[in-house]
Amino acid sequence: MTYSTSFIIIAGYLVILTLGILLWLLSKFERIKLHKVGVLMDRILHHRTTRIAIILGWWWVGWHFLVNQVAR
Amino acid sequence: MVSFFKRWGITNPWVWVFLVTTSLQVFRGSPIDTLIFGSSTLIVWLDAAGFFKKSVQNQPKVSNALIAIVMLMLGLALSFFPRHTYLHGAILFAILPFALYLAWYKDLGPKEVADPMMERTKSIWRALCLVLCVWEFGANILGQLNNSLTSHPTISVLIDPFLDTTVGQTVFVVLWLFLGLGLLRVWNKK
Repeated sequence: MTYSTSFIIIAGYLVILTLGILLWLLSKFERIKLHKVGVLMDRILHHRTTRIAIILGWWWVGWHFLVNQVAR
Repeated sequence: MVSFFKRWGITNPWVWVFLVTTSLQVFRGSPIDTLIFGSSTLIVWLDAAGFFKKSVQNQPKVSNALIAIVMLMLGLALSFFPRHTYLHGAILFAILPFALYLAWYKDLGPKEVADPMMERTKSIWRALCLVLCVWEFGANILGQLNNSLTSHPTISVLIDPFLDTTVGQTVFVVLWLFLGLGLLRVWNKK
């Protein structure tokens, strides 16, 4: 039961990761009608509140893995 | 009524993202992460509500040489010294104010209306990020309820063993630093 649950959760992460990489590559090489990730980020980072929020989130990722002991 | 909420930054989605994440940290029973996300929620809300309007500046310029030197020093220190030490804590604490200073410039003029392709791009990436958050939060909550790290593994639980190796720690540090550099948009490409 535990094994199958963890397998489903890991499979979910892998599906999401694969979809993200596919979207990134397909838009980068203009194989689908989507803007490139860089263009999207330029737009997202337009407002200061968003920039601050994203930088705080980025900083926490570093803190979480490099300083905190990962409990969960 | 809507304009009242908007004026006070309550409709800003980032305020809610941080508030929900703070709640999750309370649920996790992690006081330091609760403090970090609680403070972050406050900062994001204060900015969204316009409290920092008068303190804005233009985007700071930093020379590429200085960026390269700082990146190299940070990369070496964070990669080759052991994790979970006061040194790493001090470095991370030092990075935060500089990163915020570099991101704290005023908005880049009025935002253009998104074309249909941009709307589609935003919707698809937003949906993917939302699914990832729900999956991660779900794994975390179910793991807490089952009191088990392995039955419902989170991204942290899966990645952390890889970071115990020098190669893993170095790869993470390099990716993390370059992601930050990219988000800060300070590297002069010309």
